[in-house]
Amino acid sequence: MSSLADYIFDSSFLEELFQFLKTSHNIHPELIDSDGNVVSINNSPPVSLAAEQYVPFDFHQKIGGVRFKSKNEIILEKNSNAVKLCINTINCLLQRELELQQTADEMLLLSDQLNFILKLSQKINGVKKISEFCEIILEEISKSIKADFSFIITKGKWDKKLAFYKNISPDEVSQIQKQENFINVNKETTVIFTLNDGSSVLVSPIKSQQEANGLMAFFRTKEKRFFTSYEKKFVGIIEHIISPNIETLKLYDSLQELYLNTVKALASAIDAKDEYTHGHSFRVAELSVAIGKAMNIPDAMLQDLEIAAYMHDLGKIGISESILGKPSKLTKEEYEEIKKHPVFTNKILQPIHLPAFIVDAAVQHHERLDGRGYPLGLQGDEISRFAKIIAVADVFDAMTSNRPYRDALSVEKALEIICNGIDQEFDRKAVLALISSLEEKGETSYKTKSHISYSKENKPHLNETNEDEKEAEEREFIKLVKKIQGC
Amino acid sequence: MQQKILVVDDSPMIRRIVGQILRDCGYQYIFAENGKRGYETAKKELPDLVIMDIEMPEMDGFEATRLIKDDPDTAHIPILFFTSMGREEDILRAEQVGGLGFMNKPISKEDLETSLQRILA
Repeated sequence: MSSLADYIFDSSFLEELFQFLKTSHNIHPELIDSDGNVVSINNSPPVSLAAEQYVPFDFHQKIGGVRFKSKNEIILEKNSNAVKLCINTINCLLQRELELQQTADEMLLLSDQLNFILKLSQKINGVKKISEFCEIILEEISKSIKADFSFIITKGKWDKKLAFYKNISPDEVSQIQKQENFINVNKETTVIFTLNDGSSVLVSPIKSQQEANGLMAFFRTKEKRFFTSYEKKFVGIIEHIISPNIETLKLYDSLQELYLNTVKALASAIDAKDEYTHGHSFRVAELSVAIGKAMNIPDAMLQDLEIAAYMHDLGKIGISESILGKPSKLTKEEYEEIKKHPVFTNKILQPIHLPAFIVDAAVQHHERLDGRGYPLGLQGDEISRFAKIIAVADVFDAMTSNRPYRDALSVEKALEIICNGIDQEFDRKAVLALISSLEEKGETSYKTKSHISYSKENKPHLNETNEDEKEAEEREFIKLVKKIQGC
Repeated sequence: MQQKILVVDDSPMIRRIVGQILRDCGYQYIFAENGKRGYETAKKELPDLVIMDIEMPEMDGFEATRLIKDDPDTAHIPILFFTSMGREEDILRAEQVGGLGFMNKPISKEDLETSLQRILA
C-alpha cells in the first residue's frame, strides 16, 4: 500500500512553499498523512492555533492532505486564494510524481526485458543443436516468468517432430493437449488461458515462414497467480527471436546431415569398387574419430576429421579395378599407378572448395614423417595433423583386413609393426591414441613383446621435437605399454 | 536502523529508478549527480554503500572512487559499480580502484536486490 511519503521524493520544494505561507500570509500549513498524523517536513515543531482548515489531496487514493492553521478564521478566509494555490500546486506535483513513478516502473520492466534478451543471446550464441537451444529457452523463460513447468514442441531436420520438457512428463503433456481449453486455443498468437485444474497457461507459437509449426507452453500451478498480460507480451517478443533461430538450426542440421551423407555416399562408391576393401573408408573414419577423441580434439573438429577420413581413398575411383583387386603382388609400375590416388583425390575435391585443412587431411595420408611418403614427400610438421591420424587409422585397418595376397594380421601384430614405424612413418601421438582407443573399446589384448618396448636408442630422433615434450611422451608411452602388458 | 545508500549517477532517470527500487527494498537513499558531488556527499553523509556510475561529467566514477578510497573517513564504504554490459575493460579498472562488485546496465531489479543483500547483509 502506497503512502504519502512514497509520492514526496523531494521535500525541499514543500519546505519552501510552507515557509512562504508562514512568512507572507501568517498561515502554518501541516502535511497530514492518510491516518491523520502530521508528517514532519523540516523538523519544525507542531504549532497550536485557534483556526484551522483541512484540505485533502485530490488523488486517485486517500493519501492525506494539508491542514492550514492560523490565529483566526479571518486570516484563513482572507488568504483563501493562497491556500487554494498551495493545495493545487501540491496536487499537480503529486500527479506528476505518480506519472513519473509509473514511467520509471515501465522503464524497469523494459530494462528487465532488455536484460533478459541480452543474456539470452549470450547464452544461445554458438549453440548448434536444436535440442540444446530449446533446453536453454525453456530454462531461461521458465525462470524469468516463474513458470512451474513447461514444454516446447517443434520440428527439427526433415520436419521431424521434436519435443522438450521441463518438470513435466510427455504423458502429462499429451493429457494437457487433449483438454478442450488447450485444443480451442488460437495457435497463431501468444495467449493466456486456464486449464481445467485451474493452472494458468501461457502458450506461444513457434513460427516457420509466418506459420505456426510448433509451440511453447508455460504453466503455473493453481495456487500461484495467473500469468499477466505483461508476461504474455514479453514471451510474444521473445518468440520473434526464438522462431528464426529454430528455423536456422533446423536448416543447419539438415545441411550437416546432407553433407555427411553425401560424403558417406562417395565413400561407399569407393568401397564398392573393391570388394576386398569393403567398408574400409567407413572403418577408417570411425577409427580416426576414435584416435582424435583420444587426442582430445574438440567435438566440432572431429566431424571435419571424419569427413576427411571418409574421403581419404576417394582418388581410387581413378585407378583401374584390375590393379586395385589384383590377387597377387603388384609390379613396380602398378604400385606407381596406385600411388597416384591421393593426387586424384585432390583433383576430385578441388571443385567442392572444402576448407584446405580437410582436403590436406585426406590427400596427405600416405606421407611419412621422414619424408619418404607420397605424393609430395612432406616431412614432420609439414604434414597435416589430421592426415597423421588418418595415416595410422588407414594402415591399421589395412593390416587387420584380408587382402587378395595375404590374410588379415592380428591386432597385436599390426600394432607391433605400426609401433616400429613411430617417428619414421607414423606420428607418435596418433599411435598412442590408437592404442589407448583400442584398449578403451576392449578390442585389444595387445601384449607388447620386448622388442617393441620403447627404448630411446633404437628410435631415430626428429630434430623439431622439443626434448622435454619428447621425454614426457616417452614416459607416457612406457606407462601405456606397461599398462597394456599388465592386462 | 535503516541502511543508507548513496546513488551517484548523472542520469535523473537512473537515479529515480534506482531510488524506487531502494525504497521498495526498505533502504534509505541519497543522490549525487557526478563524481565530485558523490565524493563530497559520501564524506558528509557516510552512507553504508555507494552505487557508482562510471561515465559522468565533471568527475567520473573511477576518480570519485579513488578519492573515497584514499580518504580515511570514507575508505571503508563499499562501492558497487554500474557497468554497461559487455564492457570488460570497465570491470577490470573498477576492480583496480577498489570496486566491490558490478551491476549491469540496463538495471535489473532482481540483480540489484541480490547484490545489495549480498553486500549489506
